[in-house]
This record gives sequence, C-alpha cells and structure tokens, in this order.
Amino acid sequence: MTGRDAGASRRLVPQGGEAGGLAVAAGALVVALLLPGILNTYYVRIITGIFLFGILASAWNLIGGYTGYPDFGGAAFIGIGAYTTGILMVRAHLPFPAALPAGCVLAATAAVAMGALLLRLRGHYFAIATLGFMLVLRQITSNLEITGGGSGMNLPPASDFKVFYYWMLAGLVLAVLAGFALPRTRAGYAIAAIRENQDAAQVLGIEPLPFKILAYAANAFLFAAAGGIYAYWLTFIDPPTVFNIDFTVQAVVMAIFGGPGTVLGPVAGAVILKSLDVTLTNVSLFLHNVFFGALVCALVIFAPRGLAELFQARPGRGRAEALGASIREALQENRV
Amino acid sequence: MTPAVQIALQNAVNGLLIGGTYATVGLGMSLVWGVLNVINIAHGAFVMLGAYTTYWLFTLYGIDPFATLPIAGGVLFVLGYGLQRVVVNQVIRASFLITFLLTFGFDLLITNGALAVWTADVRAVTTPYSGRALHLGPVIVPAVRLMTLGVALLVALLLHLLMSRTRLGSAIRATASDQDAARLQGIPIGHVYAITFAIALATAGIAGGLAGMSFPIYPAMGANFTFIGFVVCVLGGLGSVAGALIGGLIFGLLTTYAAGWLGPNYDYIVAFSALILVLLVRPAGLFGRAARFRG
Amino acid sequence: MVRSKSRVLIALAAVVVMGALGVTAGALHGEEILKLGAPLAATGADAREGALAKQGYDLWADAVNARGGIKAGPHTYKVQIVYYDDQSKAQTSAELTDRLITQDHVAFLLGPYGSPATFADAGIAEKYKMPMVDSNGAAAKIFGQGYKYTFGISSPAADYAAAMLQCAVSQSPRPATVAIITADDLFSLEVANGAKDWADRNGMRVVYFQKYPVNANDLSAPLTAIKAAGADIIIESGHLQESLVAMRQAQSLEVNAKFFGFTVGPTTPDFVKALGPAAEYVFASSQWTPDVKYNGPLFGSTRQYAQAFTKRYGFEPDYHAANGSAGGLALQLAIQNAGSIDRQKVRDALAALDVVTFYGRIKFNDKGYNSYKPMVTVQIQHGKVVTVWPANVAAAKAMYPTPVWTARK
Repeated sequence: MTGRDAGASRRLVPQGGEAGGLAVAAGALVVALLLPGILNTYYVRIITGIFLFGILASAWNLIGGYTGYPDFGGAAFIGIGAYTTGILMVRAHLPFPAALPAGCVLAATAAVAMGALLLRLRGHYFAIATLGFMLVLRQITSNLEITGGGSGMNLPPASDFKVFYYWMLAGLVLAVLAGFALPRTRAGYAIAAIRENQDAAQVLGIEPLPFKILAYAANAFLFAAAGGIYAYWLTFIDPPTVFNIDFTVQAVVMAIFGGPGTVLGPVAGAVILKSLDVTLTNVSLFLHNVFFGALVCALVIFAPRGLAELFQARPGRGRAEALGASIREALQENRV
Repeated sequence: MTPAVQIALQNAVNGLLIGGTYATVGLGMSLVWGVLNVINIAHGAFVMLGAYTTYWLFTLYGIDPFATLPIAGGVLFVLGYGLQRVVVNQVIRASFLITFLLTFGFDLLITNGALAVWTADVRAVTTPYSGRALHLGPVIVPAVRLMTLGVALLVALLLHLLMSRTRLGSAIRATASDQDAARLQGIPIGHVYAITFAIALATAGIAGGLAGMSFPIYPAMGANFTFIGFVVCVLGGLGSVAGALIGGLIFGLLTTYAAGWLGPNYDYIVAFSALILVLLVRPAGLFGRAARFRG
Repeated sequence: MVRSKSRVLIALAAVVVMGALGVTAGALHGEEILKLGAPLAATGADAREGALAKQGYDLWADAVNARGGIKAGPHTYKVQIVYYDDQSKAQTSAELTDRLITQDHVAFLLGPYGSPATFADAGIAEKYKMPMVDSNGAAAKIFGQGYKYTFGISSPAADYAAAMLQCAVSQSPRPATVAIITADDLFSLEVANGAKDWADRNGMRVVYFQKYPVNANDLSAPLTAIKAAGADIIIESGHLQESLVAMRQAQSLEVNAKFFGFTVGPTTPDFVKALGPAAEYVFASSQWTPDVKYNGPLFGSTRQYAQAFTKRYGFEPDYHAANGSAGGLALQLAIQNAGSIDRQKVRDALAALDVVTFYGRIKFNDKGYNSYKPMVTVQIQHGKVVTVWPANVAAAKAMYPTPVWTARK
C-alpha cells in the first residue's frame, strides 16, 4: 500500500523533469543544426565524432541499459553497416541514401538471427559470445573477395564534410527517439521487467526472447547506421577499422558514465568523455591516455552512478518501474 | 608416417604448448570473475607487467627467466592486494558494468604508463636455451614452451590445492557463494577479496613472465591476452581451476588446427564459432556451475 | 629610505623587463618561422616506427635550422614542426591533419607513419590543396586516387619483395621455391602479392601463400606447413612484432630455408637485440641503408648523414628515420627552388623535383611517388645490418645459403 503510494508520488516528479529534459534536447538540436555554419571544419569533425559515439552509446543503452544484456559485440553491426553501404555504393552504384538503410536492415536481420541464439545466454557469457560473433565476422570479412579482404575498400568520396555531420545528427536524433519511445511501449514494460528479474517476468507470463530480440535488433539497426555513415566519412575501410572493439568499449563507458537506463544520459556521456579525450590529447602528446585512464578511475570511485543524477528527467521509467516494483512485491509476499 | 600425420601431430604439440600459456592467463581472470564477480579488462595489462618484470630482472641482473617467475608473481601479488583494498573494494558491490568501467580505466593507465616509461621498443627474453627443442620422433617440442606448460600445470595444481585444502581456500569459496553468510560467520570479507585479487594478479604476473619468454614484449601486448583470458574463462567455466586449464588447452588446439588446416586467417572463425556452440549447449562453460548472474 | 629602495628596485625591474622585451622583440623580428605539421604515431600499433620517423624529421629540422633555415626567395625561415599523436589510427590522423591545416595554420605537411594514415591524410591534404610529403606510406592505393598534392619519397610497396627475390636468385645454388606469409593489411598484402607476381614471372614455384591476422602471436601452424612443404626461400611480409615471432618460432620448430626474407623488422635495432644469434643470416629489403653511396645537399654523403644521426641518437639510422629526413629535405629543396612558400608554387616545385640526395634520387612520377630510387637488400651479419645487394652498393657479400638450425648451435 505504502509502496504504491510512494510510487505514485514519484511519478509526478519525473514528469516535470521530463518536460525540462525535452526542452533542453530540443534546444540542443536547434543549436546543432546551426553549428556547421559557424565553426570551422576541425570542430565540425570533432562534433561529428561526438554524434557518432552518441548514436553508439544510446543504441547500446537499448540492449545493455534497458534490457540489462551487456552486448560487447556491437562493432559487428558497425561492420555490417559499413561494408554493406560500401559494397552497394561501389558495386551496385547505389547512392548513399539508398545504400545506408539497406545496411541497417541487413544488420537488424542478422541481429534477429544471431539474437535468437545468443540471447539465450546470460550476463558474462552473453557478453563474450557477442564479442566472439564480432571477431568471427571480422575474420570472415577479411577473407572475402567482395569486401576487398584485408586490403580494405574505398568508398566514393563525398562532396562536402557537412554531409556527414547532418547524417550523423539524423542518426543521433533517431537513436535518442528510440531510447525515448521504447520504454513507453508495451515492449518497453516487458523489457524493464526482464531487466529487473527475468525469471520472475517469465513466471508472470512474459516470454522474454522476442522482446530481447527487439531491443537487440534496434541496437543493431542504429549501430549499422553509424557504421555506414562512418564508412562514407572515412572513404577507406578495412576489417580492423570497423570491426573494432574500441567502439563498443567506448560506447559502454559513455553509456554507463552518462547513466544507463536514461534517455539522454548516454549522449551526455558521449559529449563529455569525447570532449575530455580531445582536450587531453592537446595537453600532452604522450600522457593523454594516462590522464584519461586516471580520470575514468576517479570518476568511477567518486561518482559511481554517473551523471544520471544531474538529469532529473527519467522519462518512461514511471510505468515500467512501477511494474517492476509490483513484481518484486509479489515475489516478496510469496517468499517466507 | 605420412606427412599429413606428421603435420597433425606437430600441430597438436604446438597447440597444447601454447594452450599452457593461455591457461595460465585464464586462471587468474577466472578466479577474479568467479569469486569477486569482477570482469577485469585490465587483466592483460597485468600480464604485460609480469612480462616486463621478468624482462628487467633478466636483462639487468641476469636472473634466469624461470627463476624470476616467483618474483613476478610476488610483485603482482602485492600490487593486487593494494589495488583491491584501496580502489576495487569501493565498487565491489556495484553493478558488473561499474567494475568494467574501473578496470577499463586501469587498463588505460597501466598500458599507457608502461608506454611512457618503457617506450614502444619491442623487447624479448632470449636465453642460451631459447632455441632448444626435444625431438620426439618426427615431432619437435620446443623446450621453453614445454617448460611453460609444466609451470602452467604446477600453478594450476597449487591453486587447486589452495582452494580445496586450505582454510583460506574455504574462506574464499564461502565468500564467493554467499557474501552475507560468510560475513556472519566472521570471515573478513575485505581481506578475503583482497587476497583473491592478489592471487589472481600473481598468476597473471607468472603468466606474463611465461609469455615474455615466448612472445615479443611491448606495452600494448596485454590486449591480446585479455581476449584470450575471456575466452578461456568462458570456455572452461568461471571459478573452475580445471576449467581454465582445459579451456586454455582446447583454445590453443583449436586455433592451431584452424590455422593449419584452413589458414592462419581463419583461426578466430573456428575458435569463436566453437566457443559459441559450447555456450549454447552448456551455457555455463564446460566446467562451470550454473550461471550466477547478479541482476 | 625604504621607499627609495623600493623605487630603485622597481626601476631596475622595469629596465630588466624592457631589456628582455627588446631582446625578444628583436629576435622575433629577425626570425621567421615556417610551421610544418606532422600527425605521427606516438602510441598504438605503429608507435615504434613512428618514433623512428620523428627522429628523422627532427634531425632534418635541426640541420636546416643550424644553417640558418630554409631560403625561400628573399626570406629565410626557421623550421618548426608541430607534432600530434594519431595513435596509429587513420581516422585520428585525418582529424589531426584537418586541425593542423585549419587551426594551426601550418604551411606544409609532413606525412604520418603507415599507409592507412597516409591514405586518409592525403585526402584531407587534397581537399585543402596543401602539399604533403609522404615519407612513410608506400602502398600503391595512395597514389591511385589521382591526388595532386601528395608526394611519396619512398619506393613503392611492390618493390620490397622484388629487391629481396632479385638478391636471392643472384645467389648460387639458385633457389627455386618460395613460401610467402603475410599480415592481413593493405601494405603487407601489396608486398606479398608483389612477391608472388615476381616469383611467378621469373620461373619460381610458390609452394605456400597464406595471410595471418595482424599482430598474430603464434605462427607455428603456417611454419609447420612450410616446413613440410619445403621451401628454399621464406618471405614474411608484416610488422616488427610478427617478424620476431616468425624467426623465433622458425628456430624452435627447426624450420630451415636457404633464404629468410622479411619486409619489416630486421633493420630496426630491436630485431638483433631481441633475437640474438637467431637473427643471423636474415635478409630484409630496405628503402635505404647507411651503405648506399650517394651525395647530396644539406647532409652531404650517406655516410655523413649516418654519422650525424648516430651522434645524436646513439644508434645507426634505419630507413624509417632516413625516410623522414629525406621527406623534410625534399620539401626544403622544393621551397628553395620555388623561391617562395606559396602552396601552388611549392607543389609545382615538388612535381618538378629531380635531385640526388643522401637518400638516393628523389623524383616523383606522374602518379606522385618516387619510382626512381632503387631499393636495397640487407642481411644481418655478425649482429650488424649489412647491405648485400645490388652489387654496386654492397658492403659485403651475402652469406648464403643459411645453415640449418642444428648446425648453428
């Protein structure tokens, strides 16, 4: 009884903050649209890189944060997106706006297929299996003719750097919208329940696998989008560049640091950590990684819950959270 | 003996020998992961520190590399205890992802610190006996690798005895299975965790010393070993000494045969496909208990 | 009394400050600085080679500054190189190149280490029409894009293997079979394919050809297969770490060959130090060694360059460093020829450059790379890197065939 009331009153606060969060996001979007006209190319590049990681962190959040399944192999989908886009542009002479979605759909399909197998594993084992999937794909790619193998492939160059900036921004908006929308759907409640306690959710009649696959496929779609745009940006890709665990590790760090399970947390994490990285690189040629490592350690110890506390908005958690809470209560009542 | 059989036998020997190094790398990681539920991304970096310890002791003081192993182990034991007590303990109850972040920070610090201090020069430990080999018929068994396997088995045995026959081992196992009950029994949890981490890092140090005798030594060498550690742990099952040992040997055999039959650029395809298959059939690894995943 | 003392102090301080300002102002006025940008790997997979390249650049910059600077028409400029660490990542290198051009306003670019980074940076240089002298990126791909602003001073990748194989077939008994293992990356694959093509065209049988993952720790399986196949020549195309692994494992597995050839590794000081006696007899191809006999501007003869380098750094230069110095020198000569630091004029001067230097002939063909400088083959003899081919620059004869391992104890 008391728990339910407390939950109800908690729901009010997030909603107020929710509107605030949306306003901030909208404002940031307007600013972002205008930036390329103001800043010079160096900064535009840096910010495009931030958008890239914003997409990855937000996308990872769908499977790692919301669903609680830590995917270490997201780079597999970056690679699928990058190479599909590249191959379609070079061999089939498709324009970029046609090739990119094809890559995303292919990645999502692969996620559905692999997810049906991999998502049966839990926790650490899932993490390593996804990593294995990524490494297998990488080696397969380097053994194929159509991808150019280990020599890599060249994509047609684009006219203007701003193209990448706007595509990445679009991808980021999509990723944030996905993060915003998912918890508000029926699938979202199921996913939250799965995160809190998968076995209990199953007992209550939620079949976990389809929902996990949904989150995993959404994650794959977005990773592939980032990968396709990145390939076009780089112009030259080879297997180690795109099937690179650094992407995943950084995305995870940014998502956790920003606050997993929140909508804008991962983006905030991406912005702050990437900016820090660039600044530190300018401070010291040799020691920037050392500083960065020390910084991450310090932050983990002194601010373990990440930046999420700075964001009052926790949209979407209201109803899902209540569901999780009631499941827990139900279990507790049954326990002796 | 036909050439094909000869090649197959040689590959078997090569695979088992390199599997010994892999197993030693995996032992420490399995302990930390299974007992403390900490995924140590920096495990490879600690292996690298062990390799450098052996290298410097050998190069500056002429100590035989095998004799440096206990010292490498000791140095990392102390480092591990200190790190755990001071830093890792802060996040021990936090989610698995927070510890992931912390060890990620360690990895950056240690790898780049090593790069700054020791530069990117590639070093090696070369002794007069580095090139020696035993000849078992048509098969060649490189001496250093054979001794490495021997040490790996020894370390695995010692660890097993520690965990099953000593009071400390019981305390560690009790803490691993139920922290709160262990605390109620009067077991000093903080100390037990620190000792566990220290032991794990000591095995990493020894693995590093062994690796340094067979592989080139450079600051970024750890990343490879972290991967390998993960696979060995998961393949063999977390928290199981026998598992890590067998997991390492199997992984060594798999990659060597894949490289031999299909080509070196297929080694991961075969090894990881096998890994995924194993996990689907036995989700806790070959020897692991049923998965205990916190939340 | 106190007040007058402090007044004196203040006056003295003012004099000192003004004097210092005056001196520095005078210095700034007389000295013009030419800023050059170099996004070079200081960390990551290419850190070691990047460090060697940087030494080459620095040696050149100091040499030219010691002579007063680069003369461009009526002005003389002191060289200042701005370095950034691209962490051995092509994308980072491209970003840093952009930064060097748009933020740091460098006048010209000196190339990064490695073909992927060079390829990425060349695209940026082309976009901004900024001349870049590529000293350490030899993949043909870079020069197949139609770029007009990147100039490669080193011989192309395909030449690496040809030099070694030509040296091998000039020995007797003439070897007939070749085994090739290569790292799976752009540059190494180009070299390996170049080796295969050359072997096929010259009547040699390729008995084994395989790729391995970059930075592989274990080459025992391919070496076992090569041993079973039996090859006169073993060519390994890869990076320093892999060459160490390959040689060590060849020794412990007793894989014999008459001729072991590596593309990268043996010329760095680490190779001999790490392998000890196992490094003997190993061949490598090299863009340049201290034994070649050229004479040119700034550094004088090859020998004089090597002495200057050894004096400064304590060890003999290998070709990575020489590449760097040659790159800087090429840029300097182009600026001098152009008589200005205008980008277009310097670009045209680079395209027209034809000069013999300590490094060899530097002239760029219509694709933008130096196809006019021959490569040399070296061999490790008694712990030293010795030039053995072609005959006109050889410091010693090749020690061939390599004795079997059991005879080497």
